[in-house]
Amino acid sequence: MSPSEGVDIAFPAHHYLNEGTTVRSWLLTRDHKRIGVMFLVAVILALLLGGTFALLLRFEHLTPGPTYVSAVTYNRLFTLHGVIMVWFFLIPAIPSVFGNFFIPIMIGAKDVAFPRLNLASLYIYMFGAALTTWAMIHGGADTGWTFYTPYSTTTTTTVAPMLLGIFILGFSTIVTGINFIVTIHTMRGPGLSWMRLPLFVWAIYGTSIIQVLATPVLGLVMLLVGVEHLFGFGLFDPARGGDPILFQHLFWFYSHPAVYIMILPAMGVISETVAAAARKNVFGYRAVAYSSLGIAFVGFFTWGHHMFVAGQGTFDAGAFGVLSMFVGIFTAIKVFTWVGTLYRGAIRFTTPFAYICGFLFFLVFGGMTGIAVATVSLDVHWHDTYFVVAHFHFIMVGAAMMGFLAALHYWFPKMFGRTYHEGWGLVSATLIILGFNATFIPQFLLGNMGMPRRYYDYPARFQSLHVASTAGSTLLFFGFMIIFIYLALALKYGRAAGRNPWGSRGFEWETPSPPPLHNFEKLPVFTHGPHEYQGTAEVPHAA
Amino acid sequence: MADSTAHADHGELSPARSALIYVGLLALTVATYLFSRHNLGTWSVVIALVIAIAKASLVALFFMQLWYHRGSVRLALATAVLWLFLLTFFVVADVKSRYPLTNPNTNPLWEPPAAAQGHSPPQPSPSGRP
Amino acid sequence: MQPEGHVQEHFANIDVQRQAARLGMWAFLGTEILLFAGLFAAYAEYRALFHEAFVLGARHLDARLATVETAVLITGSFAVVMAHHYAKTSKAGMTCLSLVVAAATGLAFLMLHGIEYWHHFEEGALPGKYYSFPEIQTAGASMFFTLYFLMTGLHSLHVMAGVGVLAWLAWRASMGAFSHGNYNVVEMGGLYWHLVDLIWIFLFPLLYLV
Repeated sequence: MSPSEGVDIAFPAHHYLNEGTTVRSWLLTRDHKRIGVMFLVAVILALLLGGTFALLLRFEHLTPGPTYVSAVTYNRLFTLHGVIMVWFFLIPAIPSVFGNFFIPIMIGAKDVAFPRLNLASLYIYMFGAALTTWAMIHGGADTGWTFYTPYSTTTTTTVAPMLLGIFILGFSTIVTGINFIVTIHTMRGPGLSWMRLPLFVWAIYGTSIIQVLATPVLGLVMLLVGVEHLFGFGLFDPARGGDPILFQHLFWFYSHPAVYIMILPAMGVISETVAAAARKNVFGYRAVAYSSLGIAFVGFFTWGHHMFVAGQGTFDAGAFGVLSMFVGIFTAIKVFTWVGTLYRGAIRFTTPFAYICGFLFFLVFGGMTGIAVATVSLDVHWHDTYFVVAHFHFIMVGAAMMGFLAALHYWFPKMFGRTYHEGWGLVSATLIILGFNATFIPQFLLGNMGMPRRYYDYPARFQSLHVASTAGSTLLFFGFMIIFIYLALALKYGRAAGRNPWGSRGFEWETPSPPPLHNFEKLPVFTHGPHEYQGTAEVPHAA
Repeated sequence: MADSTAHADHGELSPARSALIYVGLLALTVATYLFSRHNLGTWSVVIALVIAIAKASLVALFFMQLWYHRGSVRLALATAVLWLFLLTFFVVADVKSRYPLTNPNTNPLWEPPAAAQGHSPPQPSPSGRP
Repeated sequence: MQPEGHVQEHFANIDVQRQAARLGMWAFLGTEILLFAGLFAAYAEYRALFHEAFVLGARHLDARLATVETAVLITGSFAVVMAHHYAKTSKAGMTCLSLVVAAATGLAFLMLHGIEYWHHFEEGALPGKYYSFPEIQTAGASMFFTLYFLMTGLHSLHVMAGVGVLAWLAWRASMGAFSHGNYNVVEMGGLYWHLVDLIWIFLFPLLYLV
């Protein structure tokens, strides 16, 4: 598969993984690469846990009425599935793993601006996760991950520790965001102007801005709900003149931009992998760079589209409906530039490319259904049905997850110096893409037919679609299991990858695989932008 | 190559100037208190906020040295403040444009809770009648 | 921390390090502003809904005491500016003294605030379900005091944190840690204190004066 197949590639003698092998050297590391690897382990565990809850939910829906669990347990399951997937997997997945690992390398720096804070962000994450898991085991909340008042302030389930766990986790996000903003502003190598930055860096920069601006509002609203739950202050209680919709404003002011925290890094990954897969200069570099900032900012003007039927005022409903459409423009710009990059490129169908294909399909399909639900009159029909569930899973699992898997498969050789079995990579990508479609397309149909979300029971006429969706979810499960197996095997038995197995012109491929402790043998000087291929005829060889 | 716009310092804050700013801040504080003793209707809020913005500008520009530091740090503060307005604007626009009977102050059937020591108020009945 | 400016390994030079610290601190201050933003939005909403209760509530609060509190915090800000100046000109003793004065203003603020809270406890002007203040019973009265306690409470927590930071800086200054080559941390701590002052500059008129 690689042009230098059959040639034995030397594995570097010294690199960041074997520089210091004690447990202490890992737990107290300031190396952004090791922190990235530890985050990878953590988010994979979160993915497994959240995925388990998802499977339990789907299996419960095989029959109407009780199947395996009680109604209360079902409510707890979807709450935990949401909390874990949103906060413990999707938000940190690409930034804290690949952002941490690659931002300094891509800009020619030895580390991030605040390495000790970086390590702190890992421990804060783990502490928040531990607290939430504990809350889960001790009578977990059943409010849904959205914690709407008045239920969240009056329920007897363990809401407060879960709120605290999420509040703590928010600090991990904020610290990561601050770190990346400062790193990108102040530590770019000689010759690296803003317009020569890799597009992944632009995407993480936009993401970091969102993290810094949005997460404090989440912290506040979690605090307010906890305080009201524990002390009855009545800020959201109508009996005392409070407004439950205020909660929703404060919650969604964070949570809508949060979904851009999830998707924007994935878009950055796709920008990198598309150029590498096509061996072609990026089409419309500036458009992609500016659209990353565009999404970061415009994403903040749209939160009320979650509240169209909640009772918010007509001005807000109208304004948010229109503003929500604008975000689609920036996404469309990116899709056109990616397709423009692929057009007439020298494409090799590798595992990352399979994920690119999945990503493009799911982003366009999911994005268009997003524009559909942003239309107020249509959302009245679809709100709180499986239509919305399918829409956001298309973006979060379909697109963002494909981005994560593309990143994992593209950068695995760089991070660990080994290649994985490409055949199994394609098999699992196919299983995941097919399984995903099988799981969620029935849910669009279910939602349109009127199946409400978060409902334990349903009329018998919906059963066949539910069964189809559950069947699809088992395909997803197998796809993921295969990935974990061949990647784990590759860690130990994989062939040495060499410096640049993909023949990519991204900056990170200039340094050895795995990189040395301080990222480079010699600090780079930048004389051109990333992914500058001299026409498709000349295919750079792996070194 | 670090962010070249961010560290173009233009002088710095001298003790003499900071003492002047300090006196100015105290004066504005007294002024806002004195203004508040008169009931000027909507203007009370406007004047109070204008003075607060003036004081905040002095602190941010001089005590926090934004006058002297160009570039990204100014943008950071401006963005945060703008975002505060964004949130506040849409929240207030919401209550101002809701169907009036959904808001407690315009609903003739809504009553404030009874002033009892630690008692919880009577739950509003579903029909809204007391 | 060495007395001479110590450049950490991953930074190109001391200027980059200083700039990074400054931008990082301002990004953090941005997050603090957004933290309070939700409360300001809640205040704006409930003031729009319960205008009369808010005006009555504000009138009932002790504006004179609050004016003194404002002056106290502003004095603290001035002291911090002087501490920064003295640190930059390598005057360890004056740096330490200025920081101590600033921390003292923080403590004075908290004490004055405590007196306010005590009055409210005694008369029953408490948040939410504990509200039992007979003089103001218009619609939304308890909401005003809920917001009052939440906003000033969160602010006071930040004042406490600020006092801690200033006290730590004062101790470091007394150990001779700061000089012309190494005063960045004083500037950073100072920025945090100024933010605490900034938030109060808005809380003061909104809660006490209008």
